[in-house]
Amino acid sequence: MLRASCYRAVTVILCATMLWAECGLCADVDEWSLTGSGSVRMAYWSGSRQLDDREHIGRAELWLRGKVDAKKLGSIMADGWVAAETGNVALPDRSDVLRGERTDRIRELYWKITTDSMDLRIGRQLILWGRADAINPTDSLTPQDFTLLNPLDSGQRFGNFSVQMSYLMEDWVLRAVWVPEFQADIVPLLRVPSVSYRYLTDRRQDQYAFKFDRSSGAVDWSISYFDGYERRPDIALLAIAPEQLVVGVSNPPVRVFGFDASLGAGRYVLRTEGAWRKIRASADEFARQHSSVEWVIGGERSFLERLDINMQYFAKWTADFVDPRTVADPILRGIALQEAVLTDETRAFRHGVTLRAAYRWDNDTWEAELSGLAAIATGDSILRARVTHAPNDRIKASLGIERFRGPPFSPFGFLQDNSTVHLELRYSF
Amino acid sequence: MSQTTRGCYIGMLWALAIAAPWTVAADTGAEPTAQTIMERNFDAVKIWSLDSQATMVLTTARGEQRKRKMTVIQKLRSDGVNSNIRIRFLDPSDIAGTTFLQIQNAAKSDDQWIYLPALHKTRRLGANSQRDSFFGSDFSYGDILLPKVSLYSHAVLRSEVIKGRDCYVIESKPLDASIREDYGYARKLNWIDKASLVEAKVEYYDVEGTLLKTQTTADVNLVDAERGRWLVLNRTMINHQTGHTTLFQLGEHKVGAAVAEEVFSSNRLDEN
Repeated sequence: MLRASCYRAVTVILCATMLWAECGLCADVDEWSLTGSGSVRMAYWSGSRQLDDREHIGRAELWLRGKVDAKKLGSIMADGWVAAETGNVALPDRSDVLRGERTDRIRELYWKITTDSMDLRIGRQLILWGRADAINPTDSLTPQDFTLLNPLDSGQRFGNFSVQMSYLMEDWVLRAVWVPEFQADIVPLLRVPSVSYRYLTDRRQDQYAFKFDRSSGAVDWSISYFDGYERRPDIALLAIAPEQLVVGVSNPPVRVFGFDASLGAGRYVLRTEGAWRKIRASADEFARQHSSVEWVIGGERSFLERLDINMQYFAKWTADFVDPRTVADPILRGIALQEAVLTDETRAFRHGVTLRAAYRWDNDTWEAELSGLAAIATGDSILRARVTHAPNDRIKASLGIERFRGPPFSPFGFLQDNSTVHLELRYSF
Repeated sequence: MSQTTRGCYIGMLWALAIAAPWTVAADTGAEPTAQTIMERNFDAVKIWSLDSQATMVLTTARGEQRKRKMTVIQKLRSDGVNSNIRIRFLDPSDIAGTTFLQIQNAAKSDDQWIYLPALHKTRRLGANSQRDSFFGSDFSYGDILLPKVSLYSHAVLRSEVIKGRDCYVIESKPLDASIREDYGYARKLNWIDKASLVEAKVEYYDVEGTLLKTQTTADVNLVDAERGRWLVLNRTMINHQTGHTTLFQLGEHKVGAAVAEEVFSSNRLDEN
């Protein structure tokens, strides 16, 4: 293991040195600049996203983004936030990522250098793949904190330490990514007094990804490969003690073969994305995710000068599916049911539609967006509505609603207690 | 030589003598047609390449202002008609890094992409409706990326001097209802500067025929004397129906410099 890590470190240093040489060893270190921006955000949330009974939460955040541009020496990008939240319970162990109650995060901190044909980025960074809208089967590299109170999914993302090398030609690019750090998605887990969760996956893991991306004329497309760990965790019973159940949370190894494409056709854009996720560990019937094939296809068009509509169909086939409701033991059945809803394996075949409509008016000082996802057959759904007003370049106010619905044994029905209303005021500088 | 043949030659000489001054007059003194003026106006701002900083100031009827700073890089392709355009927003902070790329295609829909820093993704866009607002401004895409001259019928109404500029006043009407609906204008009145053939003022009338917007230009510089190409440094658009105004101002700029093709690659829009 030590020898392998040494080889990797040497490879990275060699790559960086070659690029440095290409850029010129005699770089003028006096030519550098520092730019930064940020925002102060104050928000009210009617509830949390942690399946608990907390209500009327106030949250204050400071977001900062900076760039040090050293010209031929490359640049350093940084992005992070600090926050304070009312009713937040201080945790004795801050590494307990299951609880998601974090007061600060460095989302990105990386060095990058770009030449005519190459781009190298080393450090903590967000790498988001997939051309479909919201549902991205090929998106395996960057985790998301689903418990974080942020109006946008993108605000819940946080980076992993990665080395990303891109070879760029006229209309295609080849990317290679090495991720020596693994961080799982932070997902809401049922809080039961007699149950404790123990996180098992080692943070030090090697993951690799490759992507070939081509953009030519009216069509953009890519194929990708990922070898690493599933972001979404599995849960399984670890131990039973008097008046206490210990549930282990772990992430199985996976290989993902993916593709995506987008096609411009006049006023329409058609997008599709799919992936075969091959779980490499032996599949315990109920305590482990199963291999699956996922696919999304849809289109987008603008109407009436200011209205954008996006609609998609999604589907997921799960291999070797066994219904967890057939488990006899009630304790094991409860855990198996939670595992199934967390990993979206409540049915062998699950499909549905997504819709997003956004309307802007008054010279884009107002925007209203309605988005939702509904599963066919089970009828569980998520619906979001948000209105934003930005009277000037500094201030933005938004009011939003998020509603989860469905039967308890369904991915969104399970999250009904996470339905919220929020109000955010943002000052940007 | 027979008498008839000599007579023909003399007749031809007289015809040439009479016609010659008129022919010269047609080259140097006859007014061009409205169609010709508008075609030359279309070409007058087709610059080979431009690398510039720009500011767009949006002002509401109440006087509240929003300011967008951006870089604009543009390159005319070898056909002399279609351009590649890349716009990167620098300020304000919530849109900084947003980058728009357009590859124009006269024969079919333009190819467009946008890089959104918040999503860390580049997305392909559908071809814009020509009526769509350009990033919340009073300019539509059809105002910025001029329509083909042949989509409209043009007529010279008169000459008029505005702010010291002697102009042709030309009325342009869409040839059919679909063009009127696509661009959102029942007609346009163009004040075309006779010296530069660049518009000094344009009035836009909505589909009902009511005055909707007025654009005025200022600080028009000759940047390519050989081809007769001009650069407009200031454009102001007033929307009379909402009271909102947009000022589009070019700052530092380089005209005619070499622009690398990779600047217009959709794979590089995330290079900040």
